[in-house]
Amino acid sequence: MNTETFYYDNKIVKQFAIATAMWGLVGMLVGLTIALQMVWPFLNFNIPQTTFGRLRPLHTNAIIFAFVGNGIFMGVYYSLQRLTKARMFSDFLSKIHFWGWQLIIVLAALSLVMGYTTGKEYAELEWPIDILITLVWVIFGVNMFGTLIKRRERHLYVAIWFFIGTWVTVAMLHIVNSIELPVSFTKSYSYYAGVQDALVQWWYGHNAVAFFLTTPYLGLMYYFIPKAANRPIYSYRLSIIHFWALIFIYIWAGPHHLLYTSLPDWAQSMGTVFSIMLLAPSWGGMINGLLTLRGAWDRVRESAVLKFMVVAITAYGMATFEGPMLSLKNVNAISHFTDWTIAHVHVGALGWNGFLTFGVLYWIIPRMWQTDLYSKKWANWHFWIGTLGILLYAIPMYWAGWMQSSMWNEFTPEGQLQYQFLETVQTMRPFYMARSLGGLLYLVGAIIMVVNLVKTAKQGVFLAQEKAEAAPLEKVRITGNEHWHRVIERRPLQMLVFALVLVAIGGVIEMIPTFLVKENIPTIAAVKPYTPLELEGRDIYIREGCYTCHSQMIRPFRSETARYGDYSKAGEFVYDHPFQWGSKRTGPDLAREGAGSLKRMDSWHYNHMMDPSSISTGSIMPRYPWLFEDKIDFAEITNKMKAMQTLGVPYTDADIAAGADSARRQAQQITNGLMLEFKQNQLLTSDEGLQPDHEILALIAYLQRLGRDAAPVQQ
Amino acid sequence: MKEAITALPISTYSPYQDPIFYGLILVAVMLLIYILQLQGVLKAVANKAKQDKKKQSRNWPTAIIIILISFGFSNSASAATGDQMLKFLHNGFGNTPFNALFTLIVIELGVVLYYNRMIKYLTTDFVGLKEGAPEANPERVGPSFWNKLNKSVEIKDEAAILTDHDYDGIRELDNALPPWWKYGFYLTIVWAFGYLFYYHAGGNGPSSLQEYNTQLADAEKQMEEYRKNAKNLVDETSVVLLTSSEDLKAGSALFAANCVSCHGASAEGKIGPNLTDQYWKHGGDIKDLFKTVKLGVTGTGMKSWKTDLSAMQMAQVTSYILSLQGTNPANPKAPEGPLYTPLADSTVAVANVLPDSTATAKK
Repeated sequence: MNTETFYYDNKIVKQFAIATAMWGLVGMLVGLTIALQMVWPFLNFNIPQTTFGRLRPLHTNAIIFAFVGNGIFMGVYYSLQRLTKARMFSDFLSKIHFWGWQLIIVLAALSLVMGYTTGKEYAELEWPIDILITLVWVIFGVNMFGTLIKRRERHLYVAIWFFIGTWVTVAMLHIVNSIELPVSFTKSYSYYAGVQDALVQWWYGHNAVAFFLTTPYLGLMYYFIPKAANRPIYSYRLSIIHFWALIFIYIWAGPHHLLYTSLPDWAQSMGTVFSIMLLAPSWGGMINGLLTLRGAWDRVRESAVLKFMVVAITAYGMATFEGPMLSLKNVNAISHFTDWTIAHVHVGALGWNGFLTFGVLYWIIPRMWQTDLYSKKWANWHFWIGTLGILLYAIPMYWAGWMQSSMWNEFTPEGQLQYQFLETVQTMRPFYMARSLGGLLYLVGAIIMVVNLVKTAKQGVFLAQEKAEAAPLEKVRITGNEHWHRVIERRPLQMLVFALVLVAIGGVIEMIPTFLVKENIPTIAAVKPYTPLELEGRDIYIREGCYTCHSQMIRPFRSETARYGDYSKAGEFVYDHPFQWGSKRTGPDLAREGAGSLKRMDSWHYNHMMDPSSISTGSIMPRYPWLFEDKIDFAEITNKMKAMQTLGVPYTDADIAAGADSARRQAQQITNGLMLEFKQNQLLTSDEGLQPDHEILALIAYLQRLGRDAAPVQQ
Repeated sequence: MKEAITALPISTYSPYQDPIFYGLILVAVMLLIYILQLQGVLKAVANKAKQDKKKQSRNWPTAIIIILISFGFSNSASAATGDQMLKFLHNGFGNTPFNALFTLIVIELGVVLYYNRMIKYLTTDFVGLKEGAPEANPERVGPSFWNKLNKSVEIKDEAAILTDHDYDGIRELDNALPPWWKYGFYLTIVWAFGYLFYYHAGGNGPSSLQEYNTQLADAEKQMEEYRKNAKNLVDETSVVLLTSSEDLKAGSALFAANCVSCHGASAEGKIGPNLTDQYWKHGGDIKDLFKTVKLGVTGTGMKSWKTDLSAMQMAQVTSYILSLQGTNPANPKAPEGPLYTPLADSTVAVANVLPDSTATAKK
């Protein structure tokens, strides 16, 4: 048997490592900024590009796709070569993959702050970037499978199973959720509407967590834990069972983000039961990771790498225990829309993803630069500051979430709501301050790490081509006794197909009935499409990311119907491309903002958008002065209506032809009304410069429409 | 899910009369004393460890910072929210002093655990803790608690379950599935079927809407029960002008919290009308005002306050508003509506009030 000499490509790993660290700092800095804005809303400086609604998607996208995304690629490119005893399939593809992904990130950052967004959480990027993502993802896949095909290791190690599962599932999720109809280069509408859009979106959103933040990182854990601890993996059969069970069950659990909403009850229950069944498969990974450290715990005390990894796995265990609990309807009724959810995801993001990434970085950088870590002491400081940061972040947020929920639900004995919504917002301020401090500490820790790693690199010599030797695979017939799973471990493409079939099942069973069976979305005759101006206002609502703080989903609870009006029904959302139910109530629900007892004067909205705290003292909503200067693009409205017509919204051709005129007319009406009110009421805000083509008018039109069809205003 | 509805009237319940409260304080103080003692022990042990030079240096500053900050946080958080939190009652038991105490005790317990661990760490002689000793130190004879729990093969015997897999030097053991994990998994699957049966296939689990209706019915019953025993229940036909200083003070607070954004801090009028003059759009009698506050006025910014304020509170705030008559605040808004002259028979004034309401507000 002759051995071949070949070289591992460390350069691509280095590039991804630098990108991981850099985007990590950027993402955390944006997170800190918006955390501070929730305490001091003036920190948006009245600039649209720095306002919460646009920065929050930037923060989530930067952390998920830039920080963790590059972290995944860094870990995969490092471990895959070594686990397959082969150089990456193509240096050229590696290069395109790297630069393509960085291009996507830059485009994403620019387009999000400019307000180009689809309005679907964690899938906000507009259609040209969606296509780019698909292309780069395919290139990554080709490069990975090319490497698998020319591998020198007969069987695939469990880390690679996770990489395969990740690749195929993310591809499926991204494509299905991103089906949208372009209106222009920077604007599109989701193909799905209302309840269906919500189901698809959370099937995607939940599994972005599962297959972007969890499975690839489990793969990394399976490589770097045994390497760093120098211990064998605890249980091979546990790997097999928890891997297949995890990917099969995870995909079903999406509807647990929609409990007590207008999604049909049966679909909600699917989300609940599969989340509970997910407990053991999730914990399988934690057990296998922690028990691999059996007999190495003394080294955990010594090694910063292992310390980070142990806390990461522990955070993973906590988050995956909490997740199923939050999927129980009675727990979800408390936690949903509150800061509890924020605490939950940050235990995962800061603890599991962040700390595992740090551990990997501390492990591979000295190795690739052939030296020791510059300062172990700094690494230890990073560990403690980071841990403290997580605690200071999570504890106040759990507390805040619980308080929010209790205050929202509190009735006086006479049957009145005990608290105005604004009171609950003001109560949150100290918690938001503490949370910002936690975030700051975490960021400081990360900066210490970056300095430490840069100094490490400076003192070492980078090994771009790492020499390795292995025998090529020969064609042999495997005979004799072997574990049944070994067969599939030799066949990466079959594994890909199996994984795809398994993950497709859950989505298909949940979605098809919701799309095809009429009873699932009972229609309401009174619900009509938006007027052209309202449609334009809705796009402004989406552009400004209002959904990041305001829900449009009144759950059937006494405390919600008392505060917001009748509970929301599936039939109300049939023209909503995309749905805007939201997932967080930093501000009150807006589903019936234009109806019932919540209906306010146009001038109220006018003044409120100009300066929220002038009307609601102590509000943490930022000001939106640019809406009073920027002009509505009336010409574009026709194109938007055409797109909506294509998607099935019943606009007639005549409606569309008259779209711009109708919008102008409605804007003029609102302007006239406002002028009258200003005159009568001697408003504090000056009406100087109010023109009938300002964007604020479209937004007012939309807000005044919300909830009106199902609960008309009594005249 | 049943909503948590406060059963205890706010005014009568005080934690400071609750024996449990003092019991908890005692516990907190005792824990504090214990912590101080532990601190002494820890110091001594740490000094000894230093002298022995057996142990690695430990990040003392970090530990101290953690403790200080966690104390600092718990204090500042409860202090800063003091005002709202004092109002915050949940289920009658979890009010602020209790919350603060519980937090304190939990933190104290955490510190105790941490100190214990530190002491244990510093006093244990680690046989296996030598530089460059890669292999574990199987010092125990029998299976440990964890190995028993997980059905793990002992480390010293693990050659027997070591597979021939070797990936870049990573080996794989083939330990059995931990029984608690395996049976736990089965249990969740059984539970899942039970859940689906109970809610969707023959069981009588309530739908979301059935739960909602039950919730409303329960609340209605509770409120009815309350109304039976409650005094001071008024409505727009029975309300009378309140003049006691407590009522006016309460009314003033309610006004500041809910009305000033539209009517101005001195009721001089902003978006909403001036309330200090004698011109009223919807009648200037206490009964008129009560009705306007309770039901709101359609098509204006005046919303219905009946889901926000209790009847008594509405009586207080309207009485307070009427007490402002003729105060002549700065920057008054021009009069709106007809001049109101008090009539002997107030029912005439009631007739002036717009008959419709924005009461599409459900319940």
